[in-house]
Amino acid sequence: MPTHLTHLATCSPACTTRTWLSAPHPHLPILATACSDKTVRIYSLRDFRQLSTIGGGHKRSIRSCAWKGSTGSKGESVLATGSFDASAGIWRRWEDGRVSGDGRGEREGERDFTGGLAGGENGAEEEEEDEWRFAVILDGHDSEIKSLAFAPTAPLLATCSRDKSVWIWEELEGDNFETVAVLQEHGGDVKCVAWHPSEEVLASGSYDDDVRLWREDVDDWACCALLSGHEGTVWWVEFEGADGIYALGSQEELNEEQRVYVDARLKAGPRLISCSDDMTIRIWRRVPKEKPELPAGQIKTPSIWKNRDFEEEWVEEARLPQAHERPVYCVSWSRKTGRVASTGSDGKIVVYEEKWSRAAGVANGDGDGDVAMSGGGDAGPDMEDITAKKLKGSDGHKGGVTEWSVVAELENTHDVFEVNHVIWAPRADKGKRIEDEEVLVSTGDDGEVKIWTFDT
Amino acid sequence: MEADKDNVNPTIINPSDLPSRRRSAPTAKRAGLFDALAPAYPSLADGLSSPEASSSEPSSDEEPEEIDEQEVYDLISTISDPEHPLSLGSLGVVKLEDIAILPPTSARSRISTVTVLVTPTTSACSLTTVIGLGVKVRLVNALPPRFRVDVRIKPGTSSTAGEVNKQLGDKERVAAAMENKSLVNVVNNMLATCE
Amino acid sequence: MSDVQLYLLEANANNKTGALEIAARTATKLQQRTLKLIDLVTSLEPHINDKDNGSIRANSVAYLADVIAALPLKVLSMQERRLLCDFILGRLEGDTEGVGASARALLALEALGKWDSSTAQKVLRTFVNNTHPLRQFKLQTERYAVVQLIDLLLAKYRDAMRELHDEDHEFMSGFISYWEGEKDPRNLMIIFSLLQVPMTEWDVHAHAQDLFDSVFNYFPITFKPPPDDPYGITSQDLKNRLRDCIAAISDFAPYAFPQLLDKLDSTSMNTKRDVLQALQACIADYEAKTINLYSVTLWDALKFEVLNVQEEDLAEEALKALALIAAKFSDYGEGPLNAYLRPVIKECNEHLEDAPTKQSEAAGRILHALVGSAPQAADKVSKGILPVLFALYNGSESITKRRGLLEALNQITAAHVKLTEQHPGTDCRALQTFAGDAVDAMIRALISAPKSEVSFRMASLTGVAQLVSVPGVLSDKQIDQAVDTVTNLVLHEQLQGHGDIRTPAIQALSSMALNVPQTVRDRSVPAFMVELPDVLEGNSVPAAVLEAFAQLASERQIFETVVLRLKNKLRSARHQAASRAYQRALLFAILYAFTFGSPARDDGVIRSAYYADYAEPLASDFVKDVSSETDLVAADVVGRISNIILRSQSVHFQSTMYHKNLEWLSPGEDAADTAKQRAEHVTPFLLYYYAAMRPGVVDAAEVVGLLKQQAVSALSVGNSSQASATTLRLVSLLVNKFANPKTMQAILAETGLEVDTLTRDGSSPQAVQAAFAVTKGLLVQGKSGALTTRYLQSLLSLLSTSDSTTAHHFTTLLVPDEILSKENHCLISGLYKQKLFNQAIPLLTAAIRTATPLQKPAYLIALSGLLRHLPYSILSPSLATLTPPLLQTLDLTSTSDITSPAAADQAVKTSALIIFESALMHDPSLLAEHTSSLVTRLLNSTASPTNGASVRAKALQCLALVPRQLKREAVVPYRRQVVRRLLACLDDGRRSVRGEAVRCRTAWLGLDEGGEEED
Repeated sequence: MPTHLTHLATCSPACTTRTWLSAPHPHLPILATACSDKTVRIYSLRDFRQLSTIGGGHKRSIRSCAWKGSTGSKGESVLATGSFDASAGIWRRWEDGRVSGDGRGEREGERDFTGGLAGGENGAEEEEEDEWRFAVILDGHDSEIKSLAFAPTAPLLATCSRDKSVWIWEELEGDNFETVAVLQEHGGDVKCVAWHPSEEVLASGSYDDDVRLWREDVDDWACCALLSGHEGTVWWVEFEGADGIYALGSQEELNEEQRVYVDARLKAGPRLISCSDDMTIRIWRRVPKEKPELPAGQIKTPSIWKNRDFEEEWVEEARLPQAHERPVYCVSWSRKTGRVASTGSDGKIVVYEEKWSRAAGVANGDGDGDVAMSGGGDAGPDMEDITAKKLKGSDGHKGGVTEWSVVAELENTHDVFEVNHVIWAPRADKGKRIEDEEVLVSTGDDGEVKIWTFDT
Repeated sequence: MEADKDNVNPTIINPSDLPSRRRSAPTAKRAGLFDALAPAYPSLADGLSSPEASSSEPSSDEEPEEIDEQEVYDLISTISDPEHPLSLGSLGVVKLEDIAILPPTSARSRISTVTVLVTPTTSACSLTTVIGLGVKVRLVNALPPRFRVDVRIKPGTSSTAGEVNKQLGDKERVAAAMENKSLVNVVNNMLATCE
Repeated sequence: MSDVQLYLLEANANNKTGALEIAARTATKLQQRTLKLIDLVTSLEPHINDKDNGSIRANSVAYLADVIAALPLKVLSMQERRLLCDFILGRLEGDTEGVGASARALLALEALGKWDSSTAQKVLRTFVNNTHPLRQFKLQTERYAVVQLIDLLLAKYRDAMRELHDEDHEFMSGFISYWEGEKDPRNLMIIFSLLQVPMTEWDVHAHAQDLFDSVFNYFPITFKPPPDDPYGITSQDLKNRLRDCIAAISDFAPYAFPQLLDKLDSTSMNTKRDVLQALQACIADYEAKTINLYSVTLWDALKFEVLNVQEEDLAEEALKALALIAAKFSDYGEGPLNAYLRPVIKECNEHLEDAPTKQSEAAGRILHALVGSAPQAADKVSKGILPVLFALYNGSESITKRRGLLEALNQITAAHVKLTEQHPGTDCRALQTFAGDAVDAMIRALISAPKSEVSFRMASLTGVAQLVSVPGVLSDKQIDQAVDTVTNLVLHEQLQGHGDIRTPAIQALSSMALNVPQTVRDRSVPAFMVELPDVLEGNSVPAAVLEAFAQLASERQIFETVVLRLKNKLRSARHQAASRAYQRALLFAILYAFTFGSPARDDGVIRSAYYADYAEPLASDFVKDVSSETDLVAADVVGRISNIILRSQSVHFQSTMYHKNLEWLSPGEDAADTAKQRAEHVTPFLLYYYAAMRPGVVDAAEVVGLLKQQAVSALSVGNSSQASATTLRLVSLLVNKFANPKTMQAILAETGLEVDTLTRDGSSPQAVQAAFAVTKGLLVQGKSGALTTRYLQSLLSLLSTSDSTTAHHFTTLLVPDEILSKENHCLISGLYKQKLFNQAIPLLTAAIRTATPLQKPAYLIALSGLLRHLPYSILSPSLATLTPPLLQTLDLTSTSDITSPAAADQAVKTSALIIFESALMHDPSLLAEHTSSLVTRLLNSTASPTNGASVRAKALQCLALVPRQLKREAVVPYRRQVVRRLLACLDDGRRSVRGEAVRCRTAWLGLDEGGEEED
């Protein structure tokens, strides 16, 4: 297939050792890269040069980093770092507009000998570093922190670790973080955490091959759904954008089947995508619950209802076409285009797209089922077997309502090295062609952070 | 301390039975005993025209020697067992026939895969993971990055194979392990005997 | 003031010498009778009894001691001495101040006259009773004096001292506890040795335990001498003396063995080491009947050191101990030996059952040790083991198991070989009974076992050879079979695919040639001959057979046979016009035999008869037949054969031969073209022939003639490079050895070899090469310094204009040439390398600094060419100045100068790298300041294809040294860059280079970046 991925730039200077993950800033054109040399490197998305190195906070590799969302960060950037030293760090920096790449290139050049070891080596550097303030360190996990994420809807931070637990921290005034939950249902390392875009729901993927969803039940966080199916470590999970459904295009002239599907999707809310050591990428969808307005008599028994409300049911809706031949380490779901990019041990970057499947499948059955469903009553089972049917059809094969297809595939993206992370980011360099143009940012074992443009 | 070894008296393979390149090499190439006596021309030592100099590979005419199973074996067979002062080769923990090199799966890919099956000295060997880690680390450090290294326990030789395989296959865990000084020391001691 | 008061002042002021002078003065007064002893003593009274100041009392005794020490003999009468003695002892009973001084005083007194035994006893008793325990005195010097005194008593008054002990049974315990708590090594050295008197000479049976404990308390010795220890007492000294005490008497056994064996479980390897050595000492020194009581206990403990080796040397020590026990009993009696060996044999047999394992190997080692210990043990062990071993062998189909058993058997046989060498005529009947079966089994293995069973066949081969070398265990028939089998291996093994068993087989055959030469002569040699026909079709040569045969010549016993057969073979090959390749191979074989074999020697000199028998006929045959197209190789080989035989012969012999040979040596009157061909044909031979001759043999005129000839062919165009190389060597040789230094320049001028002329502008490449050859001859000779220097200048001046070709010739000046050697009677100046270095290098380094980019390569090449063959010791002092240019040579690429061939270019880099390698080894500090550019250059030199494999490998070797040899903080900054760039080398096309890359990368990865505190 003609590849639509083009190498745009490589952030320089590159790290001399493995880099794990890159996180684009929520609104500034900068990128934070977690490096195994115990630092985080900040690169400009304008000229792809290194702006500064954040170091000195951790004793071992920084495995992951995450920005606090724009909401509530009042003119201050907040970055969280998770390290193999079992601690998480919170860093702050005032947004004074000096963050864009103003050609500090040569000087960066000198730096790559020391691999940007903590604390730059000349005065100017110092002051540069100084702008990043090490605010607080979060201790608690017994072993390596693998991943962390700030909640978009509340002052919450989630961290997860090889100690099999997920911790949820609430940010209080004055750099105080209070542990609000320690979730331990996972049977193995928790590899990744991701927040639901609009609800206070957290997803986590684990070495035990499961994905779990967590939610506050009254005032206790607990596991509200268990998504089993993967046959290997789950390396990454991510939610679809809040209105991902519209990626499918106009809601006009949909056929019956498609309308039913859209309806179901709207009820279900954003889907979840997960990738795994088993080389598969799966899309999961919540099975919505009917909220029948209850006759007065029945309100007496809330407990049951509450329980029923709390526990959610998620089903594997689709499986993306198999394009990887080794473990898949990361997937990224574009909030803007609904496209999915994946990468992993085989060094490939693959982009997938979801479309209405051309061949309209056996729609009637679904239609009836749907009617029956809207008929209210005990809807659960029907809903299931509908989804089950959809599920059958919808993994890129003929007959489904939607189908996923590979639209771009590129080998050896980081020479022969493994690629640990890929993510969509808004394009900010001079070459930007259209409003909302996105680039892909890939992070590899070769220590390089590469930028790719995608063309359709 | 002898007592708590998992296997105090393992069978030892005689060094001369261990696979080695010298032996598998065709004898045609072998240097004759009298070669040393062939006329030498020291006054040609300026290497301008002397036969010996021209034979000393003008870098162009090097036919490449591919990395093969034997080479992988040589890299790991000299690792020493953490509980015996013996090499993994002589203990039969690593065997040439249990090493496989898989070429790139597509014309466009450059990634080859090395698979090594490790045979613990006893099915209950508590050090299996460490041994596997040693092999993995050695190969990751010694093979070019275009190789993916899969170290697994030979099926049916260990009670804990599943768990161990999963750990060794987890790059994140291996990376973290290699930042743990005490583990690193254990591994380094095992690798110290690799010349 | 009285002397004593003055002395006390000085002593108080810590003025030792001053005090001594005063004491000496007093001594003279006594001697001159100006002072009576009694007055001296009375003058002491007030101070020596000073109520409240101990040190005054001590010092006054010291005064007395110094006075007595200063007295010559015969000044004091017998009873004066006794009086003084009683006085000193008397006051000791009341007051132990100045105990050291008292001891010194007594030592001095004793020196003035021997004591009677009652005095001696009184002295010892007084000390033991009144100064017990000695450790109460804090000053080492005080205790030291006492220790010396008692050492003296025990040495000189043995009987008296023993009486003390015999008469008073309490005495001993006091005497033992007297030393408790002594810590000072100086004192301990003496105490350990003085204690051996009571230990060995007195009846201390009742006190054995206390006596033993009193010394064993110090075991193991952990004392480490201070860096600047003036007394030079090492912990080994203490260990040895302590060991002697422990092993002193059998009475200690009940305490020694349990405690030692207990300490054997220590986790400290050093302790275990000491224990094992102590055990050996005990086993060697205790009586056999005592050892008998512990032999099995010892076995049970010692075996673990072998069965589960922790440290190789510990296993060795344990084996020694085990062997010592066996040896102890061998001339003591059946019973104990049996009692000891029974469990050993039992256990070894058990281990053999599951051979091959770690422990069956260990069992083999144990058996080897015991068999080797003594004939009796050898006999019993063999009787006990071999039946079982063979039962197992025949009972098992597993080749692996059989191999394990054979290896054990070989251990036993090897021990027998050793034993029969030490005790000729040892009766090996026990082994003999099984030798037959053994050799049959092993021969079967060698013949019929799958060739892939390398170790099994190797073991069998070793076994066969060993059995043959144990005299009288094999019948003649068995020996014949053994020889035949091994011969067959050597002749018929196909080397394809399996282990190289031929090499060991050839060694085995040689060892057989030593032990059973006749059999080898009668059976192997003919077999070889069958494989060596007179003619072979085509160019095929039975190289393997020839090589093996030639190697047999290493045994004196059959050297003659080998070379004779080779000669005849060559002759008939000639007659039947066999292929040149075959003839060459035979020549090589003869050369090999004479070079590496063992030809007969008459008082150290190779037998001259070989010349007439071998060299001469070969040579004349060869030289005469100019007809055949020239064969440089053959000429060279024949030349070397003659050289080896001829060169150590006397002048007389040589000149006789020389003049006899001249008629076929000297060129006939042929036409010019044939002359040239002839020259080419003969020169290689002449080179070695003249190399063999002593200077006196060839006279001046002939030399000039020879030089002329060589000059002609050296300067003539169109010779093969080999031919001209040979000529040039001959020129160097003649110049160096035969040309008279006084008339050198004249000779050179006359023969057209004057360097200035040869190096004139526009001179031909041949001329330049000749110039180098001449200069080399002179340089090495070192006789005509001025001339050499001048020539060197003109050679160097060539560089400014020349291309790299000339530059490359500089290597030849120093390249070692076997022709120019003392053995060949050449003049070899000890300093010529140093001289050349001093003359040439400064010029070159200077030139490099100023040279234009175009000239530079030539200078760099010349520089590295010279350095290539200089011992590091010579250039290391100038390393600082040499490093920059050497780094530049690493930048040379073939493109920098098209005319320089890649191979030569590689040689230049290699030599630079070799120097860096040595520099990194020996004075890394000198390279520290260049770390950055060194690392970068080395990394660049690992790149293919601009660098050949050998350069890449060498560069990686150097790079691997950097993190090991330079300061950590200096190299850490490069770690990541290097580790990363080495990834490419891991994928190098050459396996050897990849190997180096792995080693190099490991070295850099091992470099701790630090900064992590540990959990």
